Amino acid sequence: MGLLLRILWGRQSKWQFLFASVGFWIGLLIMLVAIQVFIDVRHIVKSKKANDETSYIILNKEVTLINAFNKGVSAFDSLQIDTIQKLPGVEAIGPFTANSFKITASMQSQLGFSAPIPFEAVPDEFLDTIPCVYDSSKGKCESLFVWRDEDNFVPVILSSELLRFYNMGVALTNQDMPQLPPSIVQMFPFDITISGNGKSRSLKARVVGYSDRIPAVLVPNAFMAYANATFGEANKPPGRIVLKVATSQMDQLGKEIRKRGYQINQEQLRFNNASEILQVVVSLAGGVGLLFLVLSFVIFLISFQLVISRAKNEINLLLDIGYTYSSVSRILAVQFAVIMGLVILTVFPVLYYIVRRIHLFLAEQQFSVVDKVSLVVIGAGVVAYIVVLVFNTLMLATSIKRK
Amino acid sequence: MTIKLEYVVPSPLAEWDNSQSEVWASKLTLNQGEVIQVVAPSGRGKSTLMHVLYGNRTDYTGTLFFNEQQGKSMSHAQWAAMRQRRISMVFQDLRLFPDFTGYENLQLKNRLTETVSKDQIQQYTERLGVAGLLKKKCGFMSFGERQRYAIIRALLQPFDWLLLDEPFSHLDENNIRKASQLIIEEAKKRNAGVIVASLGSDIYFDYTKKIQL
Repeated sequence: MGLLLRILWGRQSKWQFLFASVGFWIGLLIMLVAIQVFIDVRHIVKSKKANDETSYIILNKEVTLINAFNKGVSAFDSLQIDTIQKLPGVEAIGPFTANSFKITASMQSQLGFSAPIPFEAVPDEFLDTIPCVYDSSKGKCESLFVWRDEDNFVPVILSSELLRFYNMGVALTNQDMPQLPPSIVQMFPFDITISGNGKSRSLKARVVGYSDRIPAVLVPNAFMAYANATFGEANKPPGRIVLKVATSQMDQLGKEIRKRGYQINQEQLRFNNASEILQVVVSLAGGVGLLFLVLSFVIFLISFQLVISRAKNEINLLLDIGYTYSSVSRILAVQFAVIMGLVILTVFPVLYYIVRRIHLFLAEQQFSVVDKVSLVVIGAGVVAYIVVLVFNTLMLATSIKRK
Repeated sequence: MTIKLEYVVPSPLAEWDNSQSEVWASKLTLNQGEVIQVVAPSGRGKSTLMHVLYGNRTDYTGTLFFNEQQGKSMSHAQWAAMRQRRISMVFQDLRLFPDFTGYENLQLKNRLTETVSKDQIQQYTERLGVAGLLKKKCGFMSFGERQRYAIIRALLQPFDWLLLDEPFSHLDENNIRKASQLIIEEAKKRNAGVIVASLGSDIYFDYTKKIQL
């Protein structure tokens, strides 16, 4: 072996092989990490979907010319609610309770800023997030979205959609209005005054969280019940209702609802969009890795061709004294297998380290991950190794015969 | 292994009058164990015959047989096996690796079949007076010295036939006698035939047959 290696490699430059090895190393790593992340994302989406056996939809009656000035007609009466509840796929039904009293919101520091705001309330079970603070003495997260009769503070959950509308629509076109990041909004309490039935009360309020599901300015149900009973009119029929439905029956139910002339506002599937974008990005990264891999492999092939054509005379001499083509090409093939083996052996520890960091990060973001390198990734590494080995061996055999 | 030539004519000689030749365009059988001298003026294809027999040339008409096997039908692998175990050759241009030492050149051949030991290699080089050059690169040796290494290399394998193409052109009489003795000894050990293409009359071989090209 030693003698033949010297004959073939003798005075050849090794730089191109070092170069190609580094390229192959980087390409393999990028590709394998991309495959792992792809698998992780799919796992996360799948576990989310499994949780999402139920979906939420929000119904309201269409505003038409006929009912535009007769607001009572656009509310759901108890008979209609009963019918909707019995539709196939409906698991729970929650009425929106709107305020039947007057609300004015203002910020003391900003003189003159005051506006009427419509409040709504839905049962807590229909909220997608309930903000809470961790109470170490009780060992659990205490809900911030509660209200008791004596409380002078009203927590508000704002629709993230509404804030986006404000920031992207109102603030962007109106120079007097600043754009407000969600975290900033939460820092500033504001005052509200509620009045009706000849009475009024002033309270403090603050945004404590955001909802992707319910497009409204939400207050706790208890506060809404108290305020409606005291300053307005209790038990008014709801103008909107939120339905908890089985995702599998969603399409069928959608048809039934539209048939009855109601409008649907389906919950934003923001997460799905994000994960799809992420999958595309990861696929692109994987593609770049694969491209690296292929290019560096081509450099390998060309370099071997160069070795063979430089050692043409020596190879002919070897054949003259009884060597076979395959004994000559085997030398180079074994050489390549050793280089590739080193690449694989050094890529995997780095791969394990990177994947570990990614998994830690995902776990911190509350995503469910299986913290190990997928067998698919290991398989892909092994397959890449075998494919380049076989292909290189074939190429060497033919180019030595052609030389 | 019996070598038979049936009406073989190499393409460079196709235009010639081959009626006087005992080899070209006629039937010839070479039996293992014979020591054959190929006699011809230069340019009549002595080297060509050697290369046809060694499988390096296939540009001929007619048929060449090794026992029953046709030369042209043999694959690359079959030729390689033939060159490892049935036919050995000393090339006119020697074909040694100039960057490798005498010993390395011999090892390149010997490692294919492990026919002889390191001690035997040492003995052979001593007999031909080139033992001192084992560690010298062939590129730095004289042609006569390299010729002796090429002869030794040809003996480091089993063979039925040994082809010698002008093997002694750069050797003095003393060295020719030593080399001839070694060659005949080794051929007898293997019960092998020897074919010598030479311009001169190599008196140190007891030829059993002379053939005119």
